[in-house]
Order: sequence, then structure tokens, then C-alpha cells
Amino acid sequence: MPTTDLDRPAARPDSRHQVGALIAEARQRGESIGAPGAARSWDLTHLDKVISFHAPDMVISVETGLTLAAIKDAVEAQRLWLPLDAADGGEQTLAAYLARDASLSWLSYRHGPSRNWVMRLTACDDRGREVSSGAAVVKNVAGYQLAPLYIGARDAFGPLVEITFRLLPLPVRVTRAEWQANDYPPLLKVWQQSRRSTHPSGRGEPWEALRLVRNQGRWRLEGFTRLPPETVTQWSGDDATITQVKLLPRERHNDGFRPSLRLQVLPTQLEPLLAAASRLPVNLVCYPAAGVVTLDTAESPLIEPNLEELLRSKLPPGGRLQRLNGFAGSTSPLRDHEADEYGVLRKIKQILDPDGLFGPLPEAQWL
Amino acid sequence: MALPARLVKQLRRIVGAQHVDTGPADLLVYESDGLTLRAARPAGVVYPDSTDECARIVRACAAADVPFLARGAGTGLSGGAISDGGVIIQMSRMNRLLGLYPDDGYAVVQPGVVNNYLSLQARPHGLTFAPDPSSQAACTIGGNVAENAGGPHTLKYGVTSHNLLGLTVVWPDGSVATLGGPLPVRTGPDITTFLAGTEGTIAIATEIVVRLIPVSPSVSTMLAVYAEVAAATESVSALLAAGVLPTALELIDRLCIQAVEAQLQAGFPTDAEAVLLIELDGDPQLVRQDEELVAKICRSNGAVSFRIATSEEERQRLWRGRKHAVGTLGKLTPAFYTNDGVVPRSKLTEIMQASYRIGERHGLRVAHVCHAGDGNIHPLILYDPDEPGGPEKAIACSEEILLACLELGGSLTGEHGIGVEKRSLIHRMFGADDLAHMTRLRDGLNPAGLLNPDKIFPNGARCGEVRSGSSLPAGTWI
Repeated sequence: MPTTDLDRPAARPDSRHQVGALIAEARQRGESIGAPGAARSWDLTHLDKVISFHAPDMVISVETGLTLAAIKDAVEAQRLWLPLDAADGGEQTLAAYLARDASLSWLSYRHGPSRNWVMRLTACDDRGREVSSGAAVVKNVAGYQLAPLYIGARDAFGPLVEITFRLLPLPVRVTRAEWQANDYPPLLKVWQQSRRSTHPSGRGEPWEALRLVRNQGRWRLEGFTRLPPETVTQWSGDDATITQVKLLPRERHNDGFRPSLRLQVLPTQLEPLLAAASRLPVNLVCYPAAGVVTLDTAESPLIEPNLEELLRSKLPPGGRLQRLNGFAGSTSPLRDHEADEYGVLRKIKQILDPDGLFGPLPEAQWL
Repeated sequence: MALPARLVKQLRRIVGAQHVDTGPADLLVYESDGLTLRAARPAGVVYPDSTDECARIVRACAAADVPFLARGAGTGLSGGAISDGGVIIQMSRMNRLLGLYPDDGYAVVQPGVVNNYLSLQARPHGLTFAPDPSSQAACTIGGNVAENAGGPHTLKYGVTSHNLLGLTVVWPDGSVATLGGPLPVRTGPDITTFLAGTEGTIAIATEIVVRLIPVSPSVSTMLAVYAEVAAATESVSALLAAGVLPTALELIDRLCIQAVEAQLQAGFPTDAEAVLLIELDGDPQLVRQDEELVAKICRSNGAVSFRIATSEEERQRLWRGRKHAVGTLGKLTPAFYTNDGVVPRSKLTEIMQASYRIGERHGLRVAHVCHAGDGNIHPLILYDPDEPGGPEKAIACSEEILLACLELGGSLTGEHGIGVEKRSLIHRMFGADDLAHMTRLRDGLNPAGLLNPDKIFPNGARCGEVRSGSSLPAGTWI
């Protein structure tokens, strides 16, 4: 059985109509198409139309062969913002991005995962028919909302062909701040200080985006806020490099970082986890408010053969560990769902794709 | 229709005889929810105290082939919590705050916890629960999850599904599952947020994990007054286009202003055609900056006056005027009926004009309060329930307004749900394949069809008859 998308042939429809036709054809041949483990994967790059975009309505409807970067470019030209990010700069198609739900980024604590921004979706069902849910407006509760089911399901319920996002005003005049240190504790203190000084309870989150990075043994805290530079300076005196930028940039890991493991805990459980991770000779990126630590462990299995087990043993109850395939997202999006949740997903798979036309529901043994 | 005696005995054994109602007088209260134009009589009401009791009730009903549904405070406005001859599982005893974890920003509650109670408990920790429907003093978190409730402040902080982290649910066969959990960000697939807004047709939530957000250190509430409704709606577009993201952006029109001022004296000018209530929050410096920008934009778009509340008392008075606006309509009419259609923001002017026009054609006055920033309107159709055909005329007027929303590219409902009220219209919004796909999910997850039947999707016989002479005005909470 093929194990990655690169190992299997891709179906490349030229149009949405052809997506349906390919599904019908696959059914006739008794072939599976879509999810990892299916005979063929989807390559929807030819579905690259902006269906509608009227800036005053603050929604955009697109086909899913467009890249996230292209969609962000289009909306930013109209001073609007889709507050989703991808650590690879958003070069994969929206279909691939949403299939893996690769939306955990420096924006996601404040702005949430991708499903929060999807107002309407169109997918193809197991007969090749287009089915939609939601509406192209910023608020809607009519009918069932399918976005939470389809996003992250790796096409196991069918391919997504059209998405409507709601948008925000583009943050402009943003302050960028960066602190460097030999270890992480003073940098975590800066983050905590920023929360205290902007909120009486110490639980404010002044950052639009924030990450703590260890690269080649050096630590840095990098954040973007709408607050003016003089406010940011108060959080740690002269230690910061502070600049003003016109727009909030997109997250990019351009220093050779290739994420391979992601750990997630409650924010109050972060310090012990970070302490354990920092003892490993690996590059890492941490999103403190989300309790997320992402590691590049490419070299570490040699140093620490039982790395995954070691890190798992440091996780408190409820903490999660996910294997990642670089910036392509999680290779185990369903693995860490608790048994109950996975059971429901299996049931839904049985309801929506009883013949397994879209391939298997990804699960642990598939890794 | 009476419940089978064996089932009644079982229910009494599960929760205690004092927590089972089957008498006609007791059941009368449960004939309607906030949508009093639709009524149906349940055969019994049972009050569980725990997930386990709830699961046993569901198993007993399923075994007896009797339909059942969960109900919170009954403030819903689409008839989603009424049952024709089935069992209502009333969540009012399951009203405990099970845990509040300020440092990690979440709380665990039972479904019967009142929305505002949760925020009051969180406030000493500098936190709040963002969804704030106007019924927040009465509505419950369980109901908020079922309807995916919103409210004025969801423009910035999102609806219930954006603030929902985990659920314990009872499935229609009585089995129990734990979904999601307190981690602050969870990528998909996510069953928890899928269930939000399914109107209690797939599962019953018995424990709920919700995100709490920091109370803003600075809040500013502004009132812009307009001589024309169109100028107010144009201001809404202009504010958002300028990059301002208020926490709330509410529109109230003349008729509603008159009712509010006659009863509450909130400070809305009675000669205005419309007012915008605009709220900003966040860092004090940023709030001050945005206040100036908001004032400039409102004035340049035709506001005849603009003021910023200068005290907390004034701020509260303005909000009292908005949140209780609908209740004050009793000054103008013996009854009213409302809906919650949505249009693209740029179509607000058009839908308001259409709404007035449709009202006139039916010979009915229509007042409006709107979550204008979301394009979510609440036309309040004033009618006389004692006039022959009065309720039917109000319903017809409402349906026309909703169809106008659809023609403008909008939705039938922004926050009230489809329930029984709009299920005859849902095929106007979705195609046959879309509805078949949704009902495939419903029928697969609720295979016997006993959990909250006849809601959302057209399904044979109507649950809930239109009734005249309702003693309570419909839509008291919006």
C-alpha cells in the first residue's frame, strides 16, 4: 500500500465537473481515490478560480486548487485579511491545506483553526455529486455545518472543491519585536510580562502573532502587535529589537526547519514540556499561548532512539503528540483523537462513504 | 397522547417520581419555546441530574420507541425545543459549574448553566464567555450549543462554536462519548464543533467545555444618530472597510427606538430614523485611536449626532435599550413576530428597504433591530393575534422577508436556527443534494429518528401548529 501522496498517481481534474466524473469512474472501476491509502490522490491545481469576491461583504469564495498564498494576496490587495497561516508560506493548494488542516500557526491562538473561517463549503459525495453546507455570509446557522467534519479528514469523506471564507480588516501599522537569549526562561518571562501589562488579570494577549524559536542553539521570541513600539519597549527594556512594519507578515520557517513532531498541552503545562524538549539538541518552534511545541527531530532518532516515547512520557493527561510530515501537515491527524472521537469518525465514514471509495479513514496503523 | 405506563414507571425509577411530569397543567409550560406561534404538547417532561441519568432516560425512551429531546431554558426562537407527544428532557437540574480554570482559560459546565451566570462566575478572574445572546440572563449553555448561539458581541469574538472546546454527549441509543477537551486550539476533524448548531438532532450535550476570554481592559460604547436608515447602513460598510473591527455594531430603527424610549429611556433620540450602537474594546490606546476614526466615519456618512458614553452608567443604559428593545414593543402592539435573516453586509440597505416594503404590502408595521456588523437582521413584525388570520399574515410577511434575504445571497438564519419555524423554507436555501447529504448524516447518527424529530429538515407531518391568541409575545429575546 502506498504510504505518501508522492508514491501514488494523482487524479488531475480540469474542472469541477470532472471531479464528479472521476469519482463516478473510480466507482465503476472499483478503484479508490482521495485519502491516504487510496489508489490515487487528488491534485486539484486546475481548480483555480476565484468564484466571487466583493470586498465590502468581507467574504471570498474560491476553488480549492488555489494556494493559500494566492488567496491571501487577493484579499490583502483589498485591505482584507484571512487570518490563517501555513509555515511553508502557503504554497500548497487550499485543498491540501484543508485536507490536513495545517492551520496550527502563530496566528491560531488568537484567530483559531481554519474551520472558524470557513462559512460555506462544497465537496463531492461518493456519487460524484456536489454538496454544499453553510452560506456566503459572515453569520449563518442554517442546516448542518460540514466544515468541522471535512477539514482535517484528509479527503476521507470526499474532496473539497469550493470554500467561502469570512475575512477581517487587514492589520496595518504593526509593531514587530524580537528578543534573543541563550535559553528560553527569560523569553517566556517577556511574554508573561506582556500579558500582565496589557491586562489587569495577566491573561491578556496583546499579540496578533507570537512564536518562540530555538535555531542552532540560539533562542528568540518574535511577535507582532498592534500596540505602539513604546508600549512594547516597556516589557523588557532595551533588550528588544523593535521595528514598525506596514503589514503583519506571513509565518515562514526559512531557516531549514522541518517540523516532524508536535506536542500540545495546556498553557500552564508548557514550562515542564519546554524544559524537556529544550534538553534535546533539536530546533524547535513554540506557540506559548496555544501550549504548542513543534520539533525538528530529523537528526534526533540517532541521538535518542526512543524519542517519541520519551516525549510522550512527558505529556500530562490530555496532552497530544502528533507526527508531522514537514510543512505538509500532520501525518496522523486522527491518531490523537480519543477513542470516542475516533469511533464517531468511523461511523461518519461509514455513513458518507460506505464503499470506501475515498480510501480508508486515516488511523494509527496506517503510519 | 399519553406515555406508556411502563416508560413512566422507568423514568420515575431513574430520576425519582418528583422529577417526572405528565399532568396536563405541568406540560402546558412546555408547549412552546420562545417562538410562541408554534405549539405542540409533549407527553412527559423528565428532569435528570447527571449524564448517567440522562443516558438511562434516553435508553428507556429508545426502547419504548418514544421520541425525546433535550431542552434548556426554552428561549429558542425557532420552535426547536417543542415535542409533539414525546418526552422532553429538561436540563434545569443539570446547572452546575463543574470547574473553572482561569490560568488555562476554560470552564466545564453542565448544560443547564445559564449563560450570564457563567460570565458572572468568570468575571472575578478577569474572564468572560463571549457568546451573549440577548436572552443571556435566562438561556443556557446547552441551548447555546444546540443553536450555535451568537449575540451582539460575536462580531469580534465569534459564535458558540468558536468558543466551544469539548463535549460529553449522550447519543440517541443512550451511549455516552467524550469529545474534544480543554486544549485551546484543536485542528480538525472536530466532532465537537460539528455538533454545535445541529439543534439537538444528533446528540444531547451533558457536559460542555468552553473557552473563556479575557474581559477587555478598556471598553467604549458610542451612539451614532441618523435621519435616514440608509445612512446608518452605509456607515456600517464604511466602518468595516476602514479596518475598524468593533466588538458590536447594532442598528435600531425608529419604531423600535420609540418603544424603547417610552419604556426605558435609554437615551435614543425619538426623532431619529435609526441609531447605531457601536462598541470597541481592547487596549486603551487602540480604543482611543479607533474612537476618533469611528466618529469621523459616522459623521461623514450622515450621522446627525455622535456621542461616546462617558460613564459606565450611561454605557449600561444604552445597552439596556438595545438588549431589552424587543421586550418594549409591548408598548406598541399586543404581539409581534421576528426572524433572523442574514444578508451580505453590502446588502443591508436593500434588505431594510425590502422589509419595510413587504410589511406595508401586508398592512403590518415592521420595526428592526439588527446585528448590522454581521448583516443579521431582526425584523419585528407587529400584528394583532385576535384579528382573524393575524398570525398567518405575520408569518407570511416574515417568510417573504427571509426569501428576500436569500435573493440577496444571504441565509435564512444567523442565530435562531431552523427548528420547525423555517424548515418549510430550507429547500429554498439548499439544493436537494445538499439536504440529502445532511439528512444522510442525521439518519446515520440518529437512525431511529427518535431524537428531536421533525426539526430542521422537511419530514412529513408538521410538528407545531400555528396558534392564535398567544399569551406571550414571540421573540422576546433577540
